[in-house]
Amino acid sequence: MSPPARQQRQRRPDLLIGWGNSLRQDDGVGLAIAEQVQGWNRPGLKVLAIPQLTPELAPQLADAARVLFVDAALAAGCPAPGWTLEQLPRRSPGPQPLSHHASPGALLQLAGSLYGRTPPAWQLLVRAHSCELGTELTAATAALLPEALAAVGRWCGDA
Amino acid sequence: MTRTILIDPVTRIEGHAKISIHLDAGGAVTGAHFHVGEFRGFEAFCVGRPFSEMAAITARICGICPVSHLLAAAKTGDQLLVVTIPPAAERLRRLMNLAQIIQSHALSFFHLSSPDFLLGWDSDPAQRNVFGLIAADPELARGGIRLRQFGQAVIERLGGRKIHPAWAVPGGVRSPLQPDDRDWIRSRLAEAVATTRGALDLFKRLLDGPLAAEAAVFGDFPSLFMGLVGPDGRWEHYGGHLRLIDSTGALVTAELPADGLSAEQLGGLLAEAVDPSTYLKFPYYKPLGPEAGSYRVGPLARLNVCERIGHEQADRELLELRQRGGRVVTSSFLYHLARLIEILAALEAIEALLDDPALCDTHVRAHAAVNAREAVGVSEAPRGTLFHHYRVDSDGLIEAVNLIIATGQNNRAMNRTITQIARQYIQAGPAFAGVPEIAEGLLNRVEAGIRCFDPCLSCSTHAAGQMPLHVQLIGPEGELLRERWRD
Repeated sequence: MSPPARQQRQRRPDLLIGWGNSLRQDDGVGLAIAEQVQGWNRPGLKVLAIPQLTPELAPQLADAARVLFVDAALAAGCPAPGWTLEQLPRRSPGPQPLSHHASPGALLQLAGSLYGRTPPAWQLLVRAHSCELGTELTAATAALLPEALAAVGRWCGDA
Repeated sequence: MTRTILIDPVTRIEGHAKISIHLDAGGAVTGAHFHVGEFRGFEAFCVGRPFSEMAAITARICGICPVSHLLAAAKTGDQLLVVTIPPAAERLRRLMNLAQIIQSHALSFFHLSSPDFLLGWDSDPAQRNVFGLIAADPELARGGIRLRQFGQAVIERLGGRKIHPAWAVPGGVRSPLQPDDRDWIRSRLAEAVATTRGALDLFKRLLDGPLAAEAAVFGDFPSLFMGLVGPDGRWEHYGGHLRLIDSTGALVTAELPADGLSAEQLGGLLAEAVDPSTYLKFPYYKPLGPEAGSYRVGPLARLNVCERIGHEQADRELLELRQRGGRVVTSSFLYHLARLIEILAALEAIEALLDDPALCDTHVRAHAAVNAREAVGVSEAPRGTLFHHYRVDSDGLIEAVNLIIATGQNNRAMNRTITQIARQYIQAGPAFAGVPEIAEGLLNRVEAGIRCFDPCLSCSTHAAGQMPLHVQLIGPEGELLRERWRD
């Protein structure tokens, strides 16, 4: 990395956004991870734990060095070992006719279109085993947390 | 031969919106229905929990309108305690609700609906979204984001957390407003008003031009309207009285107090019909039955039931709305205009609240034990009147819960709206031969017809908030003729 690029990275914080619904068991795993990472108090890392992705997040994305979205996924989106961490393409997934919330791809595109900068972004998906009403993660999803948090730690360490 | 276009949705649970359009043997539209497949059981989930937790729990139902549930739950708690909350607490709750109205209406108008208005009903759906809007009018898109940021920031400065502030509690609120925060809010008002005025001017120009036809076919029908009104019939969003009027403006029944509404009064006022094909219930005005008693709630209803707003700029806009649509505006398309007028009203109401010296008073909570076993809390959510009804035991543990939400109350009106649109855009008659296509223009307009009401369907997992649109044409014997999906 060139010195100017490194300086730019040093000025901008990394951003971790965990989202989901904490009343729907494993749907809240993104929130659970974000809340634990908040406790790390890591300098240069801003953490948001929110229920949905909405357009006003776009300026914060544009201002971030890198972004990590943390979400739950059903089995099809999350094969063994139960979590994945992948870099996201910088494109929109298209319109969602009746939705009130945005996808990571749409937010990234919004950041680039309106605020002139699309940060490199990754997505950590953790397998949801049940999304019934409930305030606790299932044991199976809770068992994935140590590995998922370790993956977040490695992502932070790469900064 | 019937051709079926099917795109299977990827959703975490059974969360999708389906529209069925029913045709008779001649191909004429006989009706259309909006179905929401979704998990039920929230009420049962709450049984056995302390009523004091209901504000924090219900605020987590939905990431879009958490403040609405928070306030309705806190108000129900006030009634269970049988307390009068401190004046500062009421003002602060009002301030938070106004901020919620601003940010919610901004999302609906600027990011969900504006692409329809600016890019046209027949434009490519791949472009007719917020990115198409950015290309067409980036300042409008940025202005919408700034308005949402403002509303969210007010909520954050009051509640400490942006989305689920468990800040309103039975008896008041947890913490007062700091003078620094009050001054920050004041410093942002002028920009927010300017953005709103710009959007109003733009939308009214469009209404006088390319959107004129839509106002006539997007859900223009007589119905009842319900909403809260304040003293002297002023626009209200938090307390006051429940008013139900018909399309002539006549009162349908005597007004009922929002605070202190009894379970018996609510039971005499509203009943809820159930249709197994949708998780949304169909509340209606009980004395008139499900059809004649169906009513609309939300921004247009609130502007219809009030005599005036009570703030200068918003009152001028209300007068213009009534010059455009009559004393009682029946076109559902004008919900969009009503939303913008309400943003302006909310900004002016916030300005007035900030001038109130009692706003920063530090006495913000009344304490008491459970003094009533059953209570109803009412407030206005951005989408319409929200009722929480709890029954508790002597220890304050929940025995029964019922929530009557705005999207449910507009359910029948949404059906009537898409029926009207389908009749306009599916041609039948002697020339009809074979099964009509589900044309792009029809799909766009049906989608836009539903968006007039800004229904909130994401009261469950956030992935269920990704609602694909699924339209079916159903024949006279109930047979599926065509279907089409849009993700």
